[in-house]
Amino acid sequence: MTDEDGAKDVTPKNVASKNVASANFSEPQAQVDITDVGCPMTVVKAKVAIEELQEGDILAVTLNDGEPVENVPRSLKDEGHKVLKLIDNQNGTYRLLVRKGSE
Amino acid sequence: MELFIAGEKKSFEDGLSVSKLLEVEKVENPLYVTVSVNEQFVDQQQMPGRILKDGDQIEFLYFMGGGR
Amino acid sequence: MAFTNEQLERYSRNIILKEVSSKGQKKLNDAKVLIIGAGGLGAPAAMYLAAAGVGTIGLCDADAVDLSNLQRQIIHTTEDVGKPKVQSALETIKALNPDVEVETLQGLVVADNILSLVEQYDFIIDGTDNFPAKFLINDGCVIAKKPFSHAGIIRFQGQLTTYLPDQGPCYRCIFVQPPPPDAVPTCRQAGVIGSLQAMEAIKFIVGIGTLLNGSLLTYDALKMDFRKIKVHRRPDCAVCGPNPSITAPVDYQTASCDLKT
Repeated sequence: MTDEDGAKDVTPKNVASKNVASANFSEPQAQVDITDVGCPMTVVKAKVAIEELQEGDILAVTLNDGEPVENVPRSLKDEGHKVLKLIDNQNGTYRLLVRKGSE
Repeated sequence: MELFIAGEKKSFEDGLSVSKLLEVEKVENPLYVTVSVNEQFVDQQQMPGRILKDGDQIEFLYFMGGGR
Repeated sequence: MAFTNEQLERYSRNIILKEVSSKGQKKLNDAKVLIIGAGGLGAPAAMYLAAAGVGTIGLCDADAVDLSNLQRQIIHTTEDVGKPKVQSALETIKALNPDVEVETLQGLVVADNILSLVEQYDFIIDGTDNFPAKFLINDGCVIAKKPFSHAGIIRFQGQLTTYLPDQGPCYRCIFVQPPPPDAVPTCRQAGVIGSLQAMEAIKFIVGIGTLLNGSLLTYDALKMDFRKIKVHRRPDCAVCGPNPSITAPVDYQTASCDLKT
């Protein structure tokens, strides 16, 4: 599964297909780049960005490979948000799409 | 009878009043201690006449005025 | 208000907690807490609240820093000896967290000023060292319907309770009236309790957890024993009962204290 720009889709297998579909149809309401900070500021920046949104909104997060890609999706999931898609940009960074859950 | 003093089980003779308990337990400044029995405060005037029962839970609440 | 990158980093360990998050941090940044007494209780409370990002901290104390204060009043330093405590505390808070607005009153809290003072704040911390002040703060907060944290310490022991307006019980429900001057020992000091008061203020502001409302927490530092004693409202409480006899703050005579505080 490959995006048109050549990025490889590494969406986790357990993500329901309807969410992937809706992710494709909805533009993210906000984005945040967390490649300029390290752990745990990565989580903090992503968390604050998603907390600014309304339930159901989508946040796009640009994050680095390694620790951020291990921790940030999991932390957001633990907070009750839905990880929709994780796209490998093939340049050491990822694009993560998250739908805001209820508080 | 057994009473719980600040959570600890202790044996006492039957018919003990709150005033007598303060004496037996050597409570400092007994005139200025708040006593609660089973979560109810016992007024100073009622202490001599308030007879304790087996299983009563007693707390002594002391004035603590420091803080600077 | 959006956080600056510096604020995000400063408060990251608060924000990362699910119970606090950015919403709770904003509540802290918007909150106003009054600390009466910048000593053994007030000093650690003020520092933790400033560090956590409480937006406005009011400080009220009449005294100057004494060398004998420094063993426990960690907000003051050796250089501060002789300075008004509120000034010394303000400088430490500003150095710790420049985001915090500090309002100072160098003077005593009395019946004439307690209401107008507590009305300006969301939460009050009683860090005073004498019963007249503790009863005055209780009565003022009950009358003005302000939540406050009471604490007292003596030697290695301490106690703590939190009053919530209209929910009670208040300090007077537990202790009824001040003891006569010098009837019970006072003016001896310890220090863990102030940071617990700060935690109560933070929980109240953020709206999380269970407060010490309806409980008197007692602490014995030697045995390292914490106990929570349940306390209930006194139906005939003179200030928070249904038919209060105290409807305006009253000043009591202060006990003389032979130790420097």
